[in-house]
Amino acid sequence: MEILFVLIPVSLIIVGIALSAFVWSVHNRQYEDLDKEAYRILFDDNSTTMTTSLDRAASETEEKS
Amino acid sequence: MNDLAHARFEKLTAGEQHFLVPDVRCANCCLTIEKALDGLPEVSNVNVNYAEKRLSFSALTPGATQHVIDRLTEMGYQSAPERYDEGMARFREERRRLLARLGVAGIGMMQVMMFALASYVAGPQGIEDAYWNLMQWASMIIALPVTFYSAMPFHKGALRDLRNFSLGMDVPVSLAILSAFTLSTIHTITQSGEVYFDSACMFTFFLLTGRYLELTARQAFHVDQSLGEHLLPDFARRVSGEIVDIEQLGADDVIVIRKGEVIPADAVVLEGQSSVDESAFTGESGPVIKTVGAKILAGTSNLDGELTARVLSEADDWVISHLSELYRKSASFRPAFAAAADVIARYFVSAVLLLAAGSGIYWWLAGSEDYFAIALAVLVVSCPCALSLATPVAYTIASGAVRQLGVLVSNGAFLEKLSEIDAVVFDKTGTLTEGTLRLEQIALMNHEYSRDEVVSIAASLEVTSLHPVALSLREETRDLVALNDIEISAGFGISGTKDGVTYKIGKAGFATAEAVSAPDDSLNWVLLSRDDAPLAWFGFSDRLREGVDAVVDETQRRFNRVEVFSGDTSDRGRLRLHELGFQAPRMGMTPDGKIDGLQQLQADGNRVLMLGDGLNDAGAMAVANVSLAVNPVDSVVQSAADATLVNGSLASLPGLFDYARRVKRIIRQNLGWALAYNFSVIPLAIVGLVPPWVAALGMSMSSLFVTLNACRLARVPVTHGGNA
Repeated sequence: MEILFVLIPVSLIIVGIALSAFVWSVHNRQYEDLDKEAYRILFDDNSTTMTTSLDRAASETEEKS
Repeated sequence: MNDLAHARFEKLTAGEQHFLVPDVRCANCCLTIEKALDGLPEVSNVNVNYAEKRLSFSALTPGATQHVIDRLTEMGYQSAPERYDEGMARFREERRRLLARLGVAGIGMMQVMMFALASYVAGPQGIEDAYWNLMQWASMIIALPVTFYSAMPFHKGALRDLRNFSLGMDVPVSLAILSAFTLSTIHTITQSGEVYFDSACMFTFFLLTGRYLELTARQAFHVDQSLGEHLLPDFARRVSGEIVDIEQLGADDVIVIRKGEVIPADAVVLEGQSSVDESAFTGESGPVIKTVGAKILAGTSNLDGELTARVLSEADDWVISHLSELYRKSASFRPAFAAAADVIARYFVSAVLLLAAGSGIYWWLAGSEDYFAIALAVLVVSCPCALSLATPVAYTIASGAVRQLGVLVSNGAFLEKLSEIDAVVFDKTGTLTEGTLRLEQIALMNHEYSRDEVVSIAASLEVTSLHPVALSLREETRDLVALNDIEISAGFGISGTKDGVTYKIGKAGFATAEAVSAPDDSLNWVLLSRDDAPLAWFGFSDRLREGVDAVVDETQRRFNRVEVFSGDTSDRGRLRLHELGFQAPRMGMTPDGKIDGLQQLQADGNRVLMLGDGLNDAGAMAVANVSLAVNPVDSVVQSAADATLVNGSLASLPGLFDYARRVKRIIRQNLGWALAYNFSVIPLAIVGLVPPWVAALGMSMSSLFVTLNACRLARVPVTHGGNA
């Protein structure tokens, strides 16, 4: 069972990463509107709001070239 | 481009923009808007928040914002730039922070539990010391952010309380968490004794959950409020074409409102005709036709025509200003019992601290090794959190929820008092009836004239008057004839000439010298004459509000005494009240008479609800046990009332009675639960039968139960007449 001396610290590190990811996502305003997201899947459209204008600009330049 | 819209947005530049879109009705709307706006090239990061009805996006060019507005208008959504609202911004920030703390506490709790569970299952000697110590250290590391990050609001609150020499609820909470953590840390380092990291984490997590729910409820309340205020546009167009800031508008300014614009001020229409959507104010679903002489309200929207109008009064007297004042009051209202609960809680907390210290010392002297665990359990278990949450949370949620019925609560105890009444008193004019005159019947006296012709002449005579008769006549026709020498004899009538012929309209004695009598006395009659010869009688009446008979039936079914106190002296009024089902309506009452009548009812042992609208009811409303103002025009009436019905729809009344009972029932359940819990578990904890983790679970579950129970109040019954 000596492996626990490795596994428990490793799990602590993973928990630490998970916690900071969560705190980041909250402050990144990803939990502001929980009603809307459930409906997103019902919209069958490729252009979602997740594509930013930068993505669009990038794809436009690709098309031109 | 629309010049008004341009003025409105020329301040705006590229960058982050926030707009309110009050018309968003479903989560689906949000996605539709997002999708449409996302197609615009100069816009990015489009996001529509459903709960707050708020649109935000980044404009890449200064003109982008304008395109967004145009697109929204095309799609049929009204929008207004969000004014910076500090309260709201603070709420959002606080909510985010609390959510982050809650998440950390939740994840931390689960991890610590995992280690704790292993030790519970294995029992005291089941694990080798080295592994045992490893798990304690791991628990401590995880409990660290929970204790000092997640539970920070409690520590801060406790510190604030102590600085003010008062003992709030945060003191025992913070003390319990900190002492549990500190002692467990010492035990971990010295490798002796028990650890309570699991209790500390669990306690923090469940208490934060309660706080989070409470905060969200309050935020929902705030959102409703700001949506009302944001209805007003920022700019108005003067008749000269000049665009001015709305704050520069004053009484008697003449403004032009184009098709599709929001009306910027309370005004009287001078020219033009249009349908106006007043649903936000009156609850009337369809648009209302406004012609010359009609009153239009700031914040309503002009749908299809152009109107020229004269501003009626300074901004402070506009209906929308009164409403927002009411909203502000009802939002900032801090009920007296909440303050009382705080005082009680303070004594309770001192008792809790003494009790915890006392039992700890007792068990220590008695030589028990568990003295700290017992003191901690007592401290946690007896904390009166649930008790102090029981009523305020229910009230916050309930006052927010009744807004859906068009009721603004200005006295927090309104609903509780409403649940206890056993008599109802209605005012007649303006409360049971609409309080405005409507043209019901025309009796022609001279058959050379058609109905349309006499209406047209009458309306032309009344063209400048603001009397209810005039307003009602002008709604009937659009064909006006030009009259000269229009003269108003106040209290009698109006005269005017055309082609040498004199027309008069007013009381019979004013319009003609002939002895004529009105067709009957079922209506208010006004006579139109031509050169002293009677032309036609116009009969007006004050209509009952929609659905009043059902409401009266329903009210009579519920309460023993349902009365009408009316200032009206006419037989006509009495007759109509009879038809509504009132056996003995009291007519011709003075304001003082109403107060006496109410006190009489109270002397008979009734708790009375008074519904009124005018200044003559204000006294009686102040005397009544509880009062509701119906569409009041006067701010005195609003402040006399415990609550205000802003949409004028009495149909919600039965639903309101039911809801008040429900609120009361839930508050009772909450108080009963909180007290029963505290008093039944404290003795067990003192005797040492409650381990700290059970105490933490029980205490926080009890708070959570109270909050969740109150959240059931968020649903308001949809009312339609007497379906109960």
